[in-house]
Amino acid sequence: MHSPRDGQGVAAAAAGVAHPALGVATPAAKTRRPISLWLVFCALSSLLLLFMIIAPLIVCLWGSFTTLKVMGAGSERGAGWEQVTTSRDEEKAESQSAAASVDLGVFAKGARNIAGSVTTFWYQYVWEVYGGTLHLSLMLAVISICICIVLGVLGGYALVRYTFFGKNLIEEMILLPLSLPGIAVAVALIETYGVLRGSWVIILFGHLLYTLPFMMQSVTNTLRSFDFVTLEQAASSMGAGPWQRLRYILLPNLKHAIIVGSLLVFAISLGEFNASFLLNTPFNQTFPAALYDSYTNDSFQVSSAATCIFMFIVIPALMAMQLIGGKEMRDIGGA
Amino acid sequence: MMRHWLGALYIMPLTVFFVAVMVYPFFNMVFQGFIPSQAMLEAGSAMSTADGEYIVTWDELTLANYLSVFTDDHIRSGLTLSLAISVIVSFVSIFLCIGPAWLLVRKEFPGKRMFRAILTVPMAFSGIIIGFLAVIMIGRIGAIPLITDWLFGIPVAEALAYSLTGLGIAYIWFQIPRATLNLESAIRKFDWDLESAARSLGASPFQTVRYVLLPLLTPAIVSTMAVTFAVSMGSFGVALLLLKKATVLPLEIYTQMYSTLAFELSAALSVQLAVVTVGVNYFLRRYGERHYAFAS
Repeated sequence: MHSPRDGQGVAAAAAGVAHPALGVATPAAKTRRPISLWLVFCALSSLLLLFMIIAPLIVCLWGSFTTLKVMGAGSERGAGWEQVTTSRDEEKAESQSAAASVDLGVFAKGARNIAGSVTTFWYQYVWEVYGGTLHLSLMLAVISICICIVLGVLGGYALVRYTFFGKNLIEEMILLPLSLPGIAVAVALIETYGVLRGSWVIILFGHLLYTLPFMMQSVTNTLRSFDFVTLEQAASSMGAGPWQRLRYILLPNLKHAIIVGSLLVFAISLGEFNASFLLNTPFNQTFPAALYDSYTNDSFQVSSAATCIFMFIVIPALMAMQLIGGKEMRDIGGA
Repeated sequence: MMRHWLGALYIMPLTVFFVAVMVYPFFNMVFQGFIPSQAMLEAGSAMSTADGEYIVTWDELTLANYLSVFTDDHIRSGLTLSLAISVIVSFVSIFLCIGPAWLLVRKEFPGKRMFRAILTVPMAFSGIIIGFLAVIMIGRIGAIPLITDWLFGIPVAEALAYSLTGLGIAYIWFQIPRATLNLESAIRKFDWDLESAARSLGASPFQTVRYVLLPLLTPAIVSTMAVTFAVSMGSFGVALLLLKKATVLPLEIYTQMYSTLAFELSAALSVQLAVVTVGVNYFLRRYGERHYAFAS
């Protein structure tokens, strides 16, 4: 209870600096401000949320390395166990035929014989079994980013710069996926484009539908935050052609928005499950769907390792976005 | 603002994409919902060709799929649970997130960017991951029961993850960034001079909160709720992993699609889910926007 109270004076002073319009209360008024209860509430709920977010991640990280069986045994009967052992056996056979002995490491010994309290065996297991799905997910994310940049910049530019018939309707339509349940989209896509089932194109459609609105928001928020139209008209009246305006006005101003939007698109595309779970097939599985397989079939440790791999990729992207993201991040509130 | 044909040209690829991938499939799905389900077809007199394609005549189209949300008890309970949990989770997450949002707008403290970044983390986590995290924290042998059992001899929150409370906690988890960021950007638009004006005019803290801050906050809360409600309604992974007996509407759609193979029923339910979610979201958003007029 003490730290918020003690910090209040400092914090209020800082707020006074930041907001001169309201921070000019007299010192006497500052000490009387009965807002401390509110501050305590804010601090407590912040701490609770921080705990809620960080604690499971720590447990997950611990679980991905541990050999302790306190939260469930490390089984040798996971979904892909045969895959791991046979692929290693083949490797062994090949290498033996090449008259070379190869150290099989932990795979030869199996999960039960791991020595020590910390192991990276679970990561090797996940890499071996679910590596392909991670590859597909990363590919989809990169393709999504590329298409989002092209369509998002083009569309955002058109929305900010021009008026045309049905503009409001189109803008509403582009933002609609933010509130549209993913599973409804998946059912609609399957029942309409059943032919495409089995190729990753239909998964890409689902991902694009859910990532484009974010890119659009990022672009339009940036272009609307300053007088872009006047700037461009000035350039145009001085004789700048379309290419020059794109190269020297639009892209430099949008650089930041594109980076932030791309990171967001990457994170969302990689984690997208609601729509893509139904669009998945066993031959075209995205990483979140593989995670679901892992949760239903594998041990606690293997599932933790799979989750950690996901976190190692996504959390740095989100952190980078927060750290470099400025104004446009604040206004992207949507889903 | 000029040369509208050029703007229409630039927006064309985006429009084509959205119409092809979202609008047309949706209307196709609305139509599919009127076709009697396969089970009904087999029981009834519908013709089917040799390769399993059904020929549905115009007068065989039925409302039964759309009405099953009222007639089928299981589906109705799914809808009820979806609505109830979305509303409750929206309120609770706003209650929990308004403090951090206020801190982010009004206070300067060390590690503020980090704090904000951590609050954003659940944004990219899909439902199943959150379900898994709930299982390892408050499941049957989750971390919290194990640790409290070891410390105090009483396992706290054992198997909570599989109850409706646990489901709610998992839902709140992924609402944290949405609620915080939305509230933050809404609070940022406040005219804080009003608050200091009220205080300098002699309003008590209670009066300030009741007559100044609360009316200012209401649109912010409503527009945040528009987002949290929609996301909760559409969430599917958490329920897929955690729920055993109860069901929520998205999960029911999945079951109808893949266990019962009733594509037409799942289409009808999807249409209803989408209409309810988008409709509520739209009206809450409009309400919030309309009442922003006097905030800032």
